Amino acid sequence: MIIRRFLFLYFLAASIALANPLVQEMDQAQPDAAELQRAKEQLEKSSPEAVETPLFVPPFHKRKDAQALPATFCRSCHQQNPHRSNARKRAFLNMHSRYISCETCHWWPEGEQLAYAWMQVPGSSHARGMIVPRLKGEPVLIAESIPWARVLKQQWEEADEAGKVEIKAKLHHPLREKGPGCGACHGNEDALLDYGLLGYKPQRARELELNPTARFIERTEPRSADEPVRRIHIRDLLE
Amino acid sequence: MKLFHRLKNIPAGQKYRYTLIVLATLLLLAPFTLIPSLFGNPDLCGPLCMRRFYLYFPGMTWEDFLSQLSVAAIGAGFLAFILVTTFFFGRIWCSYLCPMGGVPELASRVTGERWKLEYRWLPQVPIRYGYFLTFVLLMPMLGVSACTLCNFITVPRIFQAFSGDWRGVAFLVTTVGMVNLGLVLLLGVFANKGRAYCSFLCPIGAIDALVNRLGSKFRFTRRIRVERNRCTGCNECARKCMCGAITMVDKIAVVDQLSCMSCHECADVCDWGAIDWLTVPPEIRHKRKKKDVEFHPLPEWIALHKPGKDSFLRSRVLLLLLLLALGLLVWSQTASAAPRQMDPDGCLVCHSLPGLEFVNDQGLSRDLTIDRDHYAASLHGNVPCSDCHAEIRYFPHKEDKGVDCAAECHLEEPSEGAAYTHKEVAEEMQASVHRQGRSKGFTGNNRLEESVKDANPSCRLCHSNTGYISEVQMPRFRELFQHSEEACGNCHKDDVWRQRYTGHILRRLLGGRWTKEEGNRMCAKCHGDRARMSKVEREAGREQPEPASPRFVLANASYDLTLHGRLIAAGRESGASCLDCHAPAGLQHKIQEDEKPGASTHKETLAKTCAAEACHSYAGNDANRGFLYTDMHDMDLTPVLLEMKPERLPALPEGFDADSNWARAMVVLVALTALMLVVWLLGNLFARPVKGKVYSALGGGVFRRRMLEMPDRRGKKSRVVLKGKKK
Repeated sequence: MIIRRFLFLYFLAASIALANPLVQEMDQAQPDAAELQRAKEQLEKSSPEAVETPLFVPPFHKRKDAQALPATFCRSCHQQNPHRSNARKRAFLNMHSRYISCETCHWWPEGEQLAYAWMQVPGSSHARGMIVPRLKGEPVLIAESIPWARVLKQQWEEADEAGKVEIKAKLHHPLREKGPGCGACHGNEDALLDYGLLGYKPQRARELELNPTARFIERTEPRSADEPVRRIHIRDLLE
Repeated sequence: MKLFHRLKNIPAGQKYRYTLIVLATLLLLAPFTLIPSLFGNPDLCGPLCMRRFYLYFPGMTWEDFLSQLSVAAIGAGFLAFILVTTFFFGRIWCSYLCPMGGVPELASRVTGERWKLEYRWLPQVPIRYGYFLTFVLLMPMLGVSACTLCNFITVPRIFQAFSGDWRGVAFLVTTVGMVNLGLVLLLGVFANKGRAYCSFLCPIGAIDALVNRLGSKFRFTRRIRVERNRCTGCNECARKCMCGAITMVDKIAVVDQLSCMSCHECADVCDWGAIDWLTVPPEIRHKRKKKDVEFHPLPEWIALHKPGKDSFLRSRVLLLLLLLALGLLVWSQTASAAPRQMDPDGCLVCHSLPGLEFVNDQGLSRDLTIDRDHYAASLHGNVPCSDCHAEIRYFPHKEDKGVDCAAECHLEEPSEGAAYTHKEVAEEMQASVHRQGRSKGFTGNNRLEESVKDANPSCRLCHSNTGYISEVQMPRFRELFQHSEEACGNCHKDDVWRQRYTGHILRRLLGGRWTKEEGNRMCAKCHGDRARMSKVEREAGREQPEPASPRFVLANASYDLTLHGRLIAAGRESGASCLDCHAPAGLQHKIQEDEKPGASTHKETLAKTCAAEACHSYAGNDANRGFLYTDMHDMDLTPVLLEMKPERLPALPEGFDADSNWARAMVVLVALTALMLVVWLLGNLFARPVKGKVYSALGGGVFRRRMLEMPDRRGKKSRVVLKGKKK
């Protein structure tokens, strides 16, 4: 019993010491009725079971071996390819999620100025880790291994339906569902990310800022909600 | 306890011999199989087989023999080594190392004599060479597999079975397995001295014995030889000889060098040193006196036996050639051919980005990344994406109709100027047993549907966009390519043209992309999956679709047990693969059912298929019709266990053919075993108990009379005089 108490105190202390602003926000979140309703709906129409690969019929073109995924807290639910709904962008967004943390695009704390930097995350296949937001000089990223995440996972597994809805709503309360569009980083010279500060060479930084693919995809963006998706001839990509 | 007693009583020299046999067993047989695994083989069959390469098929040419030899090169080399040692030292391999004879012998050693059958009085030499000729000539002619009565299969399988390998158990419950197990028991474990198989049936032993006999003519070779003047005629050596090679002739032991295995047991049991493993033929010039004391009294009857005249050839220098095969590890590099056509449509602007993935509505993870370098160096490297993905012109893409393999692409076939297409291949496939397989409509999305639902193979199940030159052929390709620059470059100055042309021609000349093993693995992907195959309804060529027969379902398993299958599984190209027989040149995509005229395996065309280049050119020979009856999907060879289903466990399996040769052989052996059992039982129950030394249950009397010159038990003569060892 004593050992258990010590362990508890240790975890408590550790979690306080390691607590980052995002974790605090999540802990203190008071989701409103609309958020709870939304969380409930999303849980109810849970995504279909992932099909086990490799399939009996192999792919025709050569595929690369699966890469390791960074062990972040978000991935423990959202898995390998978190972006699913937008057929136009999902693959591109999933590609970015290999080296840009979820927090970078989906967390915008009110009244705070964020900076961005590389950070080593266990399991990341990118040499420099991931790009994470920094608040007051401290990188903000919830790793999968921190005690808070483990406690929460335990709670999630033990929770009933209503409990899960509440946890889900609380976790997503500080986050925005939609991140910035492609144009925020690519397509103009005033990018959200400061490529120079992130260590890119000037030429590569310029390539990223004026990335033709991103601008191409931006052009297919519907002007309004009612408008259908605009289709563009691929040839135009070559400009 | 008797067992330990018997083990303890083994003479010291023989204990050493048995230790060697046990060591050889550990090296050669399961669970360790150290020596076979050096050659990448799980047992002593296939490339390690020492018993098949000298089979003679009528109409066989010298090339055929050489090809048989090259198939079993390791086994042949091993046999040559054995023969060389035999020439100098006698058949020590048989007696000291061979686990196939040694293990039954050891088992026989610890079995009581009352249980045993005596074979040593039988005329060994005629039986052995009669069977040897049958084995080499008659059995191949009749199309009976040489593996039928082979204990080189059986003994390793017994060890496999006991070391927990299911294949061992599975083999032993097949007809062939049971027949062979019966042989090991009847001619091994329950034979007196346990070497009856070696004496009668072993073809290696038959060849080895000839060399043994030949070598014994030379002065310098070591053999078991008798010093006549020392022999007391006690017949202890003849009684102990496991091969029945020693007979008593006028009360002197005579060694038959066509049967002797140089096991030394005779030397171990002879109190007089009259028989030993000697180089020089013994003569009577031994000292019989030491300090005037006679220690080897000369028997009275010695004068009767003058040694024969020397007919030994003079020793001469023999050349021994030791060939050391050096294994070369060829470091093959996965280099790609020079990038060819780049991407005219701009598809790769996005699709070459790494990590472009998503999960589709079916929950299937889709990887959209195309490896640019690999694609450029692949078979389709100069085919633009849009040639196959014709519907995709816009972003975002609509779900397209999919790729049609029979469509034309923008490559031009240079001789006719027509657009290039796989149309003919697709048509060929539509005419084959796989006619239901897809050849168009391939999308990334319907891959899941195809994987789960389709019973027939589609184009993409077997073919993918592999490298233009396969990795295996890359070093050779480079070498030839280099050569062509020097050889052709003198006249043809245009580098680009020449390289393209050379690359294309070389690719074709180097030939097959797949090894046979890979080809078989591809067929086995479906045909080896019993659950998948048992669902197949065979429609092709039938009025009503038939459910899959066990023969069809187990086709892959039965093939794997043939020499063809084993050779290929061991990485040898010399076996015939699935495609070699079912899809030979000219019918590559037109695999047809056996019953259909024109199919490569149809009975009319089979001879031609078997006689394909470098295979059995004698297959079409009229004297050799039986050869074509050799069943490459022999259900009798297929482990019964594999098709056993609990609900019909007691019945014979469906594929069991009661008319097959195997079944007949089993009937004979079962009857023979039953007869022997009855005789043994009756003998034990009703025969008059014999005092003194016990001889084998069956045949012991004949052995005493013929080999040991002992009087009949029932005769009036006293047995005391000649009985046993004098002490």
